[in-house]
Amino acid sequence: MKLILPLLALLVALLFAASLLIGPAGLGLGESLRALFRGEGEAMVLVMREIRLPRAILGLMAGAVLGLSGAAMQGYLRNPLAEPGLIGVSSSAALGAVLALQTGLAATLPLALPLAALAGAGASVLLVLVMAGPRGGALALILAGIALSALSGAVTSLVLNLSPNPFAAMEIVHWMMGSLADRSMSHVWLAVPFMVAGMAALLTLGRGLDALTLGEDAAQSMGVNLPRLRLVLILGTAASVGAAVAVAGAVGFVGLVVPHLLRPLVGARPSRLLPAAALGGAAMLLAADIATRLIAPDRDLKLGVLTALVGAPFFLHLIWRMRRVEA
Amino acid sequence: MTLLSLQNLTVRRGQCPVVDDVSLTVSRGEFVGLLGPNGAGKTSLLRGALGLLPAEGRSSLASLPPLARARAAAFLPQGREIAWPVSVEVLVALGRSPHGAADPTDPAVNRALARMGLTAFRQRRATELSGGEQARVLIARALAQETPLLLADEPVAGLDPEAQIRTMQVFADLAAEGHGVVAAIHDLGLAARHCSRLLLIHRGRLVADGPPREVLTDAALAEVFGIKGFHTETADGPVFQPMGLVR
Amino acid sequence: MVNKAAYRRDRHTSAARRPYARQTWAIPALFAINAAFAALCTTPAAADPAPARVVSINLCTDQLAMLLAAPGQLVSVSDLATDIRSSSMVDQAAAYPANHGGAEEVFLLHPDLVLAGTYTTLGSVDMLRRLGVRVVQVPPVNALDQVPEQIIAVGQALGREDAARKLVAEFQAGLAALAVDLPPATAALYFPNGYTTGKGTLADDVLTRTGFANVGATAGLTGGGTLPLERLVLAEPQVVVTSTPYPGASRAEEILSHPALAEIRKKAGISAASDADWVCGTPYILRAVAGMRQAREALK
Repeated sequence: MKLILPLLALLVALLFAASLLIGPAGLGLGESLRALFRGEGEAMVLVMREIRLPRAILGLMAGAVLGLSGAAMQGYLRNPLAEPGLIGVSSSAALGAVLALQTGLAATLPLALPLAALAGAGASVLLVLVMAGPRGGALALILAGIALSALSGAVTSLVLNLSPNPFAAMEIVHWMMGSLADRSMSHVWLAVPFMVAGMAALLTLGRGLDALTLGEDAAQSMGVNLPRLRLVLILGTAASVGAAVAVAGAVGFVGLVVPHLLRPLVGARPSRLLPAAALGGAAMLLAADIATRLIAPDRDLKLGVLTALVGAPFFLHLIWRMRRVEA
Repeated sequence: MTLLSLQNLTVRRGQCPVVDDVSLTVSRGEFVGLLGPNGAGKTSLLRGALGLLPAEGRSSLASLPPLARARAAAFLPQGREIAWPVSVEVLVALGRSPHGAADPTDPAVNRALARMGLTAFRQRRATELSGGEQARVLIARALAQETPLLLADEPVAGLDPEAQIRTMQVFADLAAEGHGVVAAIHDLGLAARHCSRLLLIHRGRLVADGPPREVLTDAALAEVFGIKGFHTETADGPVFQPMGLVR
Repeated sequence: MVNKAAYRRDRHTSAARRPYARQTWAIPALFAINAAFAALCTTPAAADPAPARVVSINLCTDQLAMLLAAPGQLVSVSDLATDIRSSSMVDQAAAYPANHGGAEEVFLLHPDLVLAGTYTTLGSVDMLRRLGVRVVQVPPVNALDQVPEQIIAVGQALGREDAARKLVAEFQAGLAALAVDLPPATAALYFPNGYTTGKGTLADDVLTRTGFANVGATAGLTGGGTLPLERLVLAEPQVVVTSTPYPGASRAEEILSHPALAEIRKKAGISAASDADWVCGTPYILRAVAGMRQAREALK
């Protein structure tokens, strides 16, 4: 069990390397590495440093964000169904991002893009926590999530449909499903600081989330400052998920599947699940992104398609198990 | 030495006071039974005393910062919640978190497991145990916190007789070792037999406070619980048995 | 280019409303249908007397009809004819009432001839035919050599063969004057979502005639398709032709401002934008040819 973090880190490193080395241009291993590290070969340097590197970095970071925020929200609500995609946080972040883009705000002030997505994500986390109540009842949580996803999805579609740009309306699916195609280093610089800050905040919550295993009263009596924990959770999730969605769209199910798979491997302790879920999420998203390039290189297959194909059966399985436990 | 002091503590739900102007102190060496019918305000009193509920008046615990409070008093909530399938030793070690790391190898964890007779269970998943076993694991967690004061909300409800008696003895032993224990209890017989002092709560007010014999009077039982009981002294200590309804 | 062109020419086709959804499958289909319709649409027109009330519901027939029709003969053109991004004849089109290609709206104009594209909503065309309106469908043009046929076809439908022949002569003279005799330089057409065009497209023909080798065609594309950005970068084109972004933001167009593409364009030194002149097989395509010829000569 002690080996789980190093093993996951190794897996992430391998997938990151694979993400850098696999692409439609079919560069050789040697020339790819020379271009990446030594800057040899003008066009190949552009391919490696400006096209593949940002894609790999964003895949790693967005996956880590989704896995970590899923684990943190599940720990706080003590509910394995809490996941940024399912409870509408991702779609609200997407709405914020789309508003920033379509109002032209993001064009004049680039920071407006992650900040608007952060605001959307933050508002939805807050709303879901209020709706689900302190114990995070599964029904209230999922219903609030459905309502929130539907609402922000509808407003996103409306904004994109009303856009003067004929391509915008076609991109509803991008915001709902997510994609890392053709992202650039400018997206990395814009989003990664928020993702890092948000993840750093979420990673501090381990002790409090462990204590919450025994409920809010027990946790508070063990010295957990619950209002502060809640605030850090909201801000951390909003910053990291907001920034991830702003550049990659809303990729669902990573935050559901990864904590669920890793929980038994870390003895179910929320504090140990946090870093493991971050690494696991990064591995899952990198793998999904590599798969989109291998399965349909020319089609810009959406990331969310693959994560949902894996994740939705998991979701049903979890509901089935919870139903049996509750019955 | 005083471990808890409440002065005019009042907890309101809406306008209605569920704890009404309660003043008391708990000192080292005391095992205090908190008695009262359902809805009398026992849980609210404990939570208000810890600062988990907004309250008027003064509580020596509620005024402490969270971590200092966690080192001064452990609390066993009524709801026996175990959200994740962690192992017993990991769960019990959570009690050590106010003192630093929640380390399952901490000697305090071993002591708590031993006191509750759970040493053989330490590697088991807490969620897979029976309800009574889970209750004992949660008590062990509160014991592992090794605080001067332990507040427990219905710790023995739902336990089998052996576990009930063992738990009450553990609490009495803690008091004998110089700790203070306050436990909300519905079983008047157990309370009478093991507690050094009883508090009787009725409609939010503290109506009696003293040694078991002085609190469990016929008048108080009839007034507060609407029951009558049989009370005697034996060689093994006091015995109390509720016998029937007054009306 | 073709996706945008086809999109504009046949905006009323529901599939064509999705600028990129149709990019991969629609183009090959286009060729098959062209062949069938080219034979079908041109011949019977000559036999009919000149129509008096003509309505055009397709961007390309709009422009040919405006160039060829007798005064008063053309009653209405499509609304795209006044779109600066799509039409080379915005000013002329402003003089005509605009239609949106719906069968009901067109029928109420009492036309005796409707000019449509082969991709114009089949529903509208069928409905108009059922209502007894003569509809002539004109296929899209995929090579400069097809432009004269297109002009003649519309001329015949309008009963304006003489005007058509005159226009063809002018076009051919103009095309000959723009001939380039230079070895091929590499050029890439690059559009939102990494869309490009290969062999068998009007844009490819424009590049070929002006001394360029089209990167899309070299990459093996026939018709339109996507070219991953990294393959474009590795092809190191000397000229990159892109489109002007629409107002409002879209992720599809973000690729046009990707740092890697910006780098390529900086190195190329010349960047051209494809505009309304590239869309249709009308004499205005000569302006696109002239622009690319200038770009090629600047490379020397």
